[in-house]
Amino acid sequence: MPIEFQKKAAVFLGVVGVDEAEGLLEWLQKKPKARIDLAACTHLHPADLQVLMASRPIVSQWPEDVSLRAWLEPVLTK
Amino acid sequence: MNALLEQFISESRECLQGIGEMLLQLEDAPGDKELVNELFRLVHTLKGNSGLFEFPTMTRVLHAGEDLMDEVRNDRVVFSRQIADHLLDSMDFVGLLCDEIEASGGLLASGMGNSVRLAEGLRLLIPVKAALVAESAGVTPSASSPGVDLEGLDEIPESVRMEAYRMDRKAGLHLVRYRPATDCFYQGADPFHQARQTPGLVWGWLAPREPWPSLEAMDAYRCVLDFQVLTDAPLEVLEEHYRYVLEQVKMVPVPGLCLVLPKGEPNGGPVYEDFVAEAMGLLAAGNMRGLAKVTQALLDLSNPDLWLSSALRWLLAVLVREPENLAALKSLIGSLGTFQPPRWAAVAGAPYEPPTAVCDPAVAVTAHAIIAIQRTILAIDDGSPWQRGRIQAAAATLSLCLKALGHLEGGLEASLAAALAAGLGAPVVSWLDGLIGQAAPAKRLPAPPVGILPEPPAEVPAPPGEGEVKFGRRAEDAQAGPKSLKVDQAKVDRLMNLIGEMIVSKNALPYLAGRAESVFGVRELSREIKAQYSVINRIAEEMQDAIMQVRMMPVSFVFQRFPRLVRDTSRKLGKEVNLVLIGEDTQADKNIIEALGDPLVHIVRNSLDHGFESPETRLAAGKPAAGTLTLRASQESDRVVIEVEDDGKGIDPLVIKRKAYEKGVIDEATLERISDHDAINLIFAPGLSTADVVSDLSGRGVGMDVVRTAVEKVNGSIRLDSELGKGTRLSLSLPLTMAVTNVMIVETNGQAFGLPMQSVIETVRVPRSRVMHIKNTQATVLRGRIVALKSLNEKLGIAASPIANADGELAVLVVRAGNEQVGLIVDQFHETEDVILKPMTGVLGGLPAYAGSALMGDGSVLMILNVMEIL
Repeated sequence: MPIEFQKKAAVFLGVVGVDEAEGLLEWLQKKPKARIDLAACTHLHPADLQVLMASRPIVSQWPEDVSLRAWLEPVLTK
Repeated sequence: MNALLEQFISESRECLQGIGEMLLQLEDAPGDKELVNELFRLVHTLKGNSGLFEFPTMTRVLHAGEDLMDEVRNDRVVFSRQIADHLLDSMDFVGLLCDEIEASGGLLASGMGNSVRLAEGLRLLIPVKAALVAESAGVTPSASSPGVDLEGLDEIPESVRMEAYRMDRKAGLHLVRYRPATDCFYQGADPFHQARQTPGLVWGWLAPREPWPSLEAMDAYRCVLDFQVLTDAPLEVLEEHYRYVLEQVKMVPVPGLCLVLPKGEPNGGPVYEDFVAEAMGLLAAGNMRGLAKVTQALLDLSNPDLWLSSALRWLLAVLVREPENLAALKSLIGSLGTFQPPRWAAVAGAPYEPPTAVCDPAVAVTAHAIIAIQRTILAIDDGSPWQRGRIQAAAATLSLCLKALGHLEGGLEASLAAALAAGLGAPVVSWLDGLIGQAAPAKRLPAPPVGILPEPPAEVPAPPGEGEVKFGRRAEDAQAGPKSLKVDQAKVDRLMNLIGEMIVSKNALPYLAGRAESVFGVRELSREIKAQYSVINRIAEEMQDAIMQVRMMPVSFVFQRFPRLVRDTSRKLGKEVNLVLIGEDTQADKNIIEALGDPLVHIVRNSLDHGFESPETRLAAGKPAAGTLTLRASQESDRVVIEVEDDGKGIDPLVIKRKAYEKGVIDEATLERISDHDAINLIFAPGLSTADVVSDLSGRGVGMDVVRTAVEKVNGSIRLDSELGKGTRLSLSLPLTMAVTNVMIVETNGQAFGLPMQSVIETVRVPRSRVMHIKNTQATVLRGRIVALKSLNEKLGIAASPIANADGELAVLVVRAGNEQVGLIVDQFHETEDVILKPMTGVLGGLPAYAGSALMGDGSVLMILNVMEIL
C-alpha cells in the first residue's frame, strides 16, 4: 500500500501511483486538516500531486529524496 | 535484425511505393474517391505497422499524414497539390528512416526534429487542426526563438542559478516547458516522472495551469500541471527524452545572462545611488578590480536577503564570468538604482540586429584607419624616454575609436598596464590583433559582431517557413531493391500446373520413340528421341522440384502455436507438461502444412486431456511429475512424417474394446477376436469417445475420426502405437506435395484405370484354383492370411468376367481399405506413372468412385479410382 492512511495523517511510501489519487482525494475531503508525511516517498504520480496541491494539506515530513523535495517544497508550502 | 523488422521494412517500402503512385494519380484526378480511400488505407497501414516498433519518429509523421488523409477522405479538406507535396516529402522522409533502420537496425534521435516539423506541416493543412497548431506554435523548438518566453526563471533559487551561470557549458542551457495533455493520465503517462528524469536536469519546478477548484469538483485524473525544467543537456538528447510528447514540449535555449535575476526584499533606496554612480564611473574607466572591490564591500554591509544584495552578488558573478561584457554589467548596475531586474529578455533579442547601427560606415572606416595608425605607433620600439607616454596616448586613442565602433570589451586596460610595465607597446598590439582577428571573419570590417549575448546556438532549427528541410530523393539515387518477392499464390499454382503439363507431355516422347521404331521402322531416330527425352526429363524434374520448393513451408508454421496451446491447456487441466519440438524446419507443401494444423491440434489436445496423468498419479507411478510431449517432424523420402508422442498413461485396449462394444462400433464377435493393436486403432472409429465426461477440450467422440479424415484427405496415413502405462505415439505420414500423384495403372475389360500408389500394397498372380468361394464372396489365402477378392469389373458395373492369363492366373491387386486388405481382380497390370491428378468438376464431380482424372503421355485420359469408395 503506497499510502498509509492513519487517523490524522497520510504516510506516503515509495512510489505512489496513479491509482491512489481517487482514494487520496476522498480521504482529504473528509479530513481537510490532515497531515502528510512524505519522508519515505520517492516518487508520486502527478495525479496525486495535483490532489495535494489543490487541497493544501500540511506537510509534516518532506521527502528524504532531495530532488523530489526540491520539486515539491515550492508548491506544497503554505 | 529480426524477421519481423525485415518484413516491416519490405512492407513499408511497398506501402511507400504505393503511396507515391497514388499521390501522383490523385494529382491528375483529385476527385477520385477510391484513390483517396486507398491512399488513406496505405498510410493507415504503414502507421499501424510502425507503431509495432519503437519508431516514434516515423509514427509521428505517419500519424499526421493519416489525420490529413482522413480529412481529405471525409471531404473536409480538398486535395491539393500542396497536400501532395507535403505527403510526398513526408513519405520520402519515412523512406530515409527505413534505410536507416535497415542499415543500423534502429533509429537515431537525430530525425526527431525533422519528424516533428513534417508532422506539423501536415497538420497545418487541416484547417481545424491548423488553428490548434497555430495556437501552440511556440510549443515546438522550431518555432520558438530565443530571447522570448523565459519568464519563470526567477522561480529557481538564486544559488542554483548562480551555479548554473558560473558553469561553462558546451551545450548551453535549455529551458524545457512541458505542458502535458489533460488526458495524458489515461494514456498511462507520468509527466512528473518524465520531467524528473530529464537529462542534465539543473532545476525543475511545476505549476498548475489554472486555479484549483474545490476538492468536491476536482477531477484528479485531469492533468493541469505544467512542468518546467532547466537543463544543460544538448537539444538532441532532450528531444530523444521527450520523443513521445514532443508536441507538448517546448525547448528554449537559455543564454547564461538570463539567469541573472536579482531577487529578494525590495528594501533600501537612495542610499545606493552613490554606489551606482561610483560603480558606473569605475566601469567606464575599465577598473574592474575596483568595481569588484566596492561591490564586495557594499555586499558585506548589506543584509543578504535584500534584493540589493542579490543584485550585488550577481554583479560579482558577472564580473568573474564575463568581465568584458560591459553592456551587461552596465545594465545590472543600472538596475541597482531602479530596483527593476535587467531586462535580459529584451536585450537578448538584440544580437539579431546587426550592430552596424552603432556607428555609420563612414565613421567606421575613419576609426579603423586611426586604429591602424595607432597600431603602427605602438609597434615602434626606439627606446626613447617618451615611449611610455606615447603608448598611453595611443591606448587612449584606441579606446575612443573602439568605443565609437561599438567594441565594449575590456582588456585594453590590462594590456596597457602590461605594456607600461614593460615599456613596450607589444602587449597592446597583440591584444589589438586578437581583437581585429576575432572580428575578421565577419567580413564587413565596419561591423564587427559584438553582441551583449553570445551568438545563439547553431542548432536552433530554422523556422519552417524559411529553411524547409527537403527529404526528396533524386530519381537517380540508388534504391535498395527488395530481397524477397511477394507472389500471389495463384501465380505459383499456375506454374505448378504448367510444369505438370510439361511432365505429362514429356512422357509422350517414349511413346513417340516407340512409334518411330514399330510403325516407321526407324530405329536410329527412336534412339535419338530417347536420348533427347532423358535430357528433357532431367530438366523438367529439376524444374518441378524448384517450383515445389517455392511452395514449401517449414513445419514450424504449424508448430509455433503449440507452446502456447500446451501451456494454457495443461494449466487448465492442472497437469505439468513439457513440450519438445523437433525438426521444425522440415518443409512440406503449403497445402499439406495448412491441412496439418487442425488435426494436430486435436491430437495434442487429446494427448493432454487423456494421455497425461495428473502430477500426483505420475509420481505414484514412478514417473517425473512433468510429462513430456514431443512433436517431431522429419522427412522420409517423399513423405513428411509428424510424430506426436507422450509419456502418459497410454491407451488401454480393454477399455477401448468395451467402449466400442457399448457404442455399437464393433459386434460381439469382433470384440472376442480383435487384437490389442487393432483395438486401440478403434479410437479412429466415428462415434467413439473414451472420456466419461464431455469437457470443453475433448470427449465428444469426433476428435480422432476427424483427424483421420483430414489426414486422408491429403493422401496421408496415420499410425497409432501405444503401450499401457508408458505412453502413446501417433505418426502422421503425409506426402511432401499434392501436385503429383504416383498411380498404378491397371487394365480391366480393355479400359485403363489408375489407383493411387499409397493404397496399393502388392500385386499378385493368383491361380484360379486357389480362389475359394465363401457363400457368394471370393477369397484366397495369401501368406497365411485370408484376403477377400473382389472383381473390379463387378464393382464398376461392367458385365464381364475377369480374364486370366495363359497360365490361368488372375491378376490381383491387393489394396488397403481402412484397416483391411482387399484383393481387386483386374485383367492386367501396367506400369506406375506420375500424373497430375485433376479433381472431377461439374456433373462428373458427383461421382464418388473417381478421385479424378489425369492426362496421359499419349494424350489419353486416365480415370483415377477412389479405392475407399468403390469397395
